[in-house]
Amino acid sequence: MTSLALPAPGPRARPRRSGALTALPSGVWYLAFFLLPLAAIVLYSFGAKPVGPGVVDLSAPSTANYSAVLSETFTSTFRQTVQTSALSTVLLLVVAFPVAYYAATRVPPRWRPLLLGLIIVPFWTSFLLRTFAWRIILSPLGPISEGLDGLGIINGPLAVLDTRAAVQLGLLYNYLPLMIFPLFVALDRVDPSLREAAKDLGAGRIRTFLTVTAPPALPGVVAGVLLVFIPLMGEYVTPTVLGGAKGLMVGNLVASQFLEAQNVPLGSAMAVVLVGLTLAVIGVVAGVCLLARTLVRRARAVELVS
Amino acid sequence: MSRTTPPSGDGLRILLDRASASRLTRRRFLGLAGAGALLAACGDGGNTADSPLGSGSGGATDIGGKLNIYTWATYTDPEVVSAFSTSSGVQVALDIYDSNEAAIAKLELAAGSSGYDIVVPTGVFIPQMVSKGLLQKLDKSKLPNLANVDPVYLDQPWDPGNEYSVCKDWGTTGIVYDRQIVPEPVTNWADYLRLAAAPKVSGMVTALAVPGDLTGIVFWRDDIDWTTTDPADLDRAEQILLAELVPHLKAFDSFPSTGMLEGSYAMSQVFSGDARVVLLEDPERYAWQLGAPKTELWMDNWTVTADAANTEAAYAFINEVLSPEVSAREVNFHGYNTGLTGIEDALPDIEQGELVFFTDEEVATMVPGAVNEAQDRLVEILNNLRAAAGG
Repeated sequence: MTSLALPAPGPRARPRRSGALTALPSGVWYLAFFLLPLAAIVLYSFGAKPVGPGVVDLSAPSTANYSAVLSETFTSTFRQTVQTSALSTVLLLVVAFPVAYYAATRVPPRWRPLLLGLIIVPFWTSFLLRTFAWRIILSPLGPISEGLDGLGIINGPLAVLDTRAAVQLGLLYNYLPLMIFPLFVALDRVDPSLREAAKDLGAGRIRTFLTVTAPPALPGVVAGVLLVFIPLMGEYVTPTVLGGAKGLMVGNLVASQFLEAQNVPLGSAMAVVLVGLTLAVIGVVAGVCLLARTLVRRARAVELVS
Repeated sequence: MSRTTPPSGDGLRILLDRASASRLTRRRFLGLAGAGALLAACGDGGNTADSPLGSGSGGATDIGGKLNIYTWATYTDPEVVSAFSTSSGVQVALDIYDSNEAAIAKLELAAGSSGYDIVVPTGVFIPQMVSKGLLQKLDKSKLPNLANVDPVYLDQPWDPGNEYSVCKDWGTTGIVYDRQIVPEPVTNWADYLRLAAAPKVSGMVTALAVPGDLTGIVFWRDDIDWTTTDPADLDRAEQILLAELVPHLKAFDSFPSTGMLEGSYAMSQVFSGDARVVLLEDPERYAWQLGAPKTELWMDNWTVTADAANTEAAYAFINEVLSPEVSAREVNFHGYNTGLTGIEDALPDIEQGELVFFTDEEVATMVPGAVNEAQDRLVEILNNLRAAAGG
């Protein structure tokens, strides 16, 4: 996802020491607030719940927590979490791409900040409040429910709240800007004259889109997908508010182990498995995409005969 | 404690304006500004001078600072809080939890820097919290209103001599349901589990997100001691809940009143005061049934954390809510018996009073819980049921 921000490669310069110095604060921050806690979580995951006071008992490290996490009780939640996150990511891409495309290619440049502003303004309100608002909107006694019922579109009150569908809806809503912006940035960088040239050379709309507009947007797609998929896997708030008993995600399991069961080691093991699973899914998808790209390139390769 | 044997000679009587009482639902109650219009306290002595409520004068002196209270949802009248803030200059913040386990875990993980001054645990959890060093001994010289508490509610087995805690209120657990959806009256826990499978009801049932109360459904139904530590009992309860409740469950919700009133739930296991919120809104549509044949009796308590930053404010607040007038307002708000001497007689016209003050016969079916070696297993069962419901 960093490829977005990378400047065009200039003449090679030796890295200067000042560069290392400017990276120091973020490096220390990263070490203290990301790597160390992560290491602690990994360490805790091999411990046991202490009998007396304390958070974790590390006197007899074992993989018992991992056996528990991988038991039938919890694996279904992991599967559901991957499904929900993957489906959300695909839906987000489908919904966000036309918006980003429209904003980047059809809206006159002077109106773009306004349009992007309109997308971002609702997100100045608290994430939690916006999610709770959906409970009111989707309420079985709410206006939408009564309206749809009155029009005969649904029979009886709307039964979306506290289901997986409600979670999906909430996730789609909450993560949309995270998908739109990287796509917009990528599409915005495509020089309009390229599209004009394609048109002049006889390419139709679809062909222009597929061969000229879309390929440079791929880094944006990758950035957007990573930007939403990773936090989606760890989601906790949206399923808590909208999911009821049915919309459970792994984040909820981890939270209940830490906060309710006071079983920090088991919660840690769940968190580690979640991280591993996230990396694995990304790895598999990336592998498939790279393979596809290689195959496409090979198929399209133009043989140069000297 | 009972409606059949009212204590006599109390020095306090709260008069509710009948016209306003009938529309004193929770939401409207919250919306009403003029506190004095609702409650008029008139007594022939007693402790009326202790309350700075409404007038903002007298009582607590200017203490200042902040007071962080960690408590259950809709458990303290916001007007009581703001009156206390006005009179004492203390800025009060309320934070909410929905199970004792969650509250204790948070206090423990914070390891002495939780920032909370007052916590409101259920009695049976107090020994555990004391042994973990989470609570401080009460300085009773700062709680003169402790004298107002009915001795029945003092000196409980979990805290002999009230060294660490004072009764905040007590209540019980039952079932609230929507008569328009549930096809027949729910009369006991067996009905709750049976009707959960009924068409339209299935998928709209909730249970408390409280470990002991969840297995309690089975133990109370089958008249097994709900403090059992027998692994076979616990396994059986888990299996029954997995088979009979989980497939029909919509949510684990410790405060289902909101979901019930928004039409999301048809039948819920519920704390009595939360059920009262539902019935205040529409007593025709919704019905309450005390858990039967057995159910629980719980008592929540005011405690001061070991790491409290503003103990003076904490004591002043607890002392204030133990004054008869403030206590009566609290009962009106949260719908639980605060255990003050004469509180029932002080509130003769309280709406849905049968959910607040129980008869001797009803109280005889309520059994106090326990926190024992089964606790970890109970929490595990809740988490297993959660995972099963979501999968």
